Amino acid sequence: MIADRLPTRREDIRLIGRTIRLVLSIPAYAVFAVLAAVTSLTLFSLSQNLTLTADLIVGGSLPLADRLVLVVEQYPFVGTNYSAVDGAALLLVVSLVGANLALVTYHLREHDLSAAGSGGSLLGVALGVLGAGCAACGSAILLGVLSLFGASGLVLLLPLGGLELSLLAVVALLLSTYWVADGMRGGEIQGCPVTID
Amino acid sequence: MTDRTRRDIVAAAGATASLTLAGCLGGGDSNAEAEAVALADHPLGENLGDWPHLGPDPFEAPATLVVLDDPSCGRCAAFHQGTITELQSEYVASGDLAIAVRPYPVVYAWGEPAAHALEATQARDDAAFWDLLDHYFTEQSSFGTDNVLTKTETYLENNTDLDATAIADDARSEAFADRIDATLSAGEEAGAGDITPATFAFVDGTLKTSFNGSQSTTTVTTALEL
Repeated sequence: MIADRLPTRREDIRLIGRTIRLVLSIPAYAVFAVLAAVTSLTLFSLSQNLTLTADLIVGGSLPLADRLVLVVEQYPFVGTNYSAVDGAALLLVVSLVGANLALVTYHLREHDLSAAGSGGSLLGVALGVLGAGCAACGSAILLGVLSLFGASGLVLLLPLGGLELSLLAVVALLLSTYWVADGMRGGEIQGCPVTID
Repeated sequence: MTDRTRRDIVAAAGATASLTLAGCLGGGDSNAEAEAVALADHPLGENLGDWPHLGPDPFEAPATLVVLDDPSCGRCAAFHQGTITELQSEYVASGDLAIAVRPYPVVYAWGEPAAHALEATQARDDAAFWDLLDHYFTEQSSFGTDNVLTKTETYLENNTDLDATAIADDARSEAFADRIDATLSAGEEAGAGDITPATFAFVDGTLKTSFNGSQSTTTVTTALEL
């Protein structure tokens, strides 16, 4: 039953939180999560302005310091591209991407997986990677797809003006994280059991 | 887990990530390199003198921004109220930067009649154009397709000496539709798409780059090396 695989109980949410906390308590995975989040944030931010990126950040003749300034200015709350709400949503998404990828990596490296016995984990891995890509693309992908049909204005008809896409990414990442955590039940992280009773 | 299984998972994950990111990077603007196009030869440079600008002549200025704005676009409002205001007080005032604006209605429906009203206003008075644009940005949440022209008429009546009724009538009859159409066509040709604000940056009369959104003052001055 699909409902059995959804995080509907309070214990499921606690499982997500506990698993993330245990994995990120390992310094190497915490650093990895931060790097993944920053990479995801950078990819998403630059994907919103590919011409500027190609002309002046990757190409062109600006000094390195100026190129870095242009990169950092694309981030929410540093530059002025995003409203406070959109910026906060983006930071939430990339934080989840970082945590999610750290969990996926930990799971692959430290736990025994088998294709037969860890269907949930494999699904989680696939969704985690898709979620990371999704977060990096965000509305750009959907806008791109919709514009193929001449309907990019549809996003503007959404009640939250496109913020729904970030919320969808959050849901996908939470599902993915839950499925990865669910696949780690019965295991241990640094001697601590993953399972919540 | 066997090494084979693990390799398969990592390979599948890597392939998925590559495809996803490839889709991502391919989903945006395909005009990846700014070509050395002179402002006079750029689609948005054609008859640019017919549209209002701040600062020196856009064709003679050391640096020029051509901004496509939709009066109904929230990030356009943020761009004008933040970045353009800051640029105006320093770089436009010193003659180092010209900023030309062309109404480009592609966002919410009320932006289109507002753009027509802006064109009708600018045909009579450049200064009133800037005031009306600022009014749209400041009061953005109060406008809709049903009230934009009546509110525009009231604003012009109360704040200018212009014939507000004639301007509203011109907007209703789309008397300046050819100018709106020219900007929409030029924007499309330039690759602006349906995202505003779309800004094209020229240095010494040559296209240096273009960008979307309400970029910061630091981004603009760094890009233009001001």
